[in-house]
Amino acid sequence: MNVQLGKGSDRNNRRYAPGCFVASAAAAAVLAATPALAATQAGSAIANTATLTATTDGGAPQSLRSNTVTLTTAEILDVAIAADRATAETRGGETAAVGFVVTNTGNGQEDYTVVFGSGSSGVAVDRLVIDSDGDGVYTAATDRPLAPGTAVSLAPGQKTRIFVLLDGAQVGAAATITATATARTGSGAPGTVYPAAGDAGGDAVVGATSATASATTQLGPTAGVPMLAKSQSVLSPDGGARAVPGAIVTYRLLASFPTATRGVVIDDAIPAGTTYVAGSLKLDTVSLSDASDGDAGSASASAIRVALGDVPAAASRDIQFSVKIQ
Amino acid sequence: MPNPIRTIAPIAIPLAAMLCAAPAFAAGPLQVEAKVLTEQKTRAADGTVRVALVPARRIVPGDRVTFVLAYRNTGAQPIGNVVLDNPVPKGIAYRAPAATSAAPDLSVDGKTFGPLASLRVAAANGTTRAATPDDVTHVRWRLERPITAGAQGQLAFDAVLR
Repeated sequence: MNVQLGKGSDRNNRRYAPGCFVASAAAAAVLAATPALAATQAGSAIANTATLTATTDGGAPQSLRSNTVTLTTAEILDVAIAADRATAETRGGETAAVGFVVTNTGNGQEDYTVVFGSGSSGVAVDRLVIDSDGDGVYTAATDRPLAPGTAVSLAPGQKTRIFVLLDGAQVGAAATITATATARTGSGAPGTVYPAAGDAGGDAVVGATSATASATTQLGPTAGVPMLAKSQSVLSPDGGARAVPGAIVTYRLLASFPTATRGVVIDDAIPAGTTYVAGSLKLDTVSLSDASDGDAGSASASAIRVALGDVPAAASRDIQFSVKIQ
Repeated sequence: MPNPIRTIAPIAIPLAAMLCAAPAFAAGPLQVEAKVLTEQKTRAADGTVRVALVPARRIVPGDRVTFVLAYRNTGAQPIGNVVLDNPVPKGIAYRAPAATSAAPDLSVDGKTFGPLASLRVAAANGTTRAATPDDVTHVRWRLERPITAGAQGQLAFDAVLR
């Protein structure tokens, strides 16, 4: 079973280029092809040519083009990372998927290494998965694994969600998981230059984020969620354990409450093909009458009900009843 | 008696040859050079920061750049009606006239030129709005006086890389 965390969608905070008026049709086409870009993409050539028009004495107007100055836009190395949730609950025996969203906030195509750590608490990372379908929820069938150490390649403004899958049984009381994304081209103090390392052979310059960023999710075992476990035992007329007509099936409902819980009622239907064994309802091994009367329990041909009322923290209740296979 | 009426053959005029006779202006006395400069800050020993304009070598989005047009009349005749046109390159956003330069006329469509306050652009809902420096697509200077023989000058505007 999967615990699905990080259902937040990024659809609402997707970045759009600020509205800019473009007169030239050619320029408009280029911008339309990359609508998410706000900054000029790394490697873009900026070419400037002026035209001078003048008249010599008595002559016709003449025009003259200047030299063309061409600049290559350098690549800014920047990154942002955000945890889907500040805290995530884990449960023993279940895999928790903790999501982190990495965004290329620079202006070039960039590879990012994403490293996961758990500080001193020692959380074992089961594996990493890319949210391939982009729905913000870990889906085992469609989301593809990411081998540890593999870089994530992002276009400017592009973002991707990485799920860390954790075995809930290994998460201690106060564990954390931290994801750190770092630009592969280089990181460090803002302004650090990596010559000719940027897109299209231009320079790469570390931006304001130092080209590395971290986000942390606090992990903890699930608290406050009551659990109900049902088990059964069969006693056949011949003394065996085969479920044959006439056999008695005894059900046991074990309810556990990590925190104080108010107004608890447990209902369970009598399975089809069976009849309730009169007087078999028990709460914590004490028999309850079948009638709706002074005690907590009642039973009918179709269902049993036990009203536990207010239950204190760290308590458990044990309910049993029997049915006969017709 | 001779026939008083003469037939006059039509005279072919070599129009094409006349058009080609115009002198090539690029080889003439006027020169124009474009430069793109960027601010370079250097910190002196006394802690003051000196800002110098140097040819742009590495620019990233957000960097301020100055587009400079330097012109010179190397001939012996004055040159009048001088207009310098500088379409704003893609990726560049116009900001203001450079500190030492005459203010240019601006355009958001390459056709209508004037001060920024006189320009309007189409808005999404079919109306128009006042133009901002980001909307400027063309920069133009008209020199009021002819460039005299041997004279030179410089015009510039500040911009930012988008």
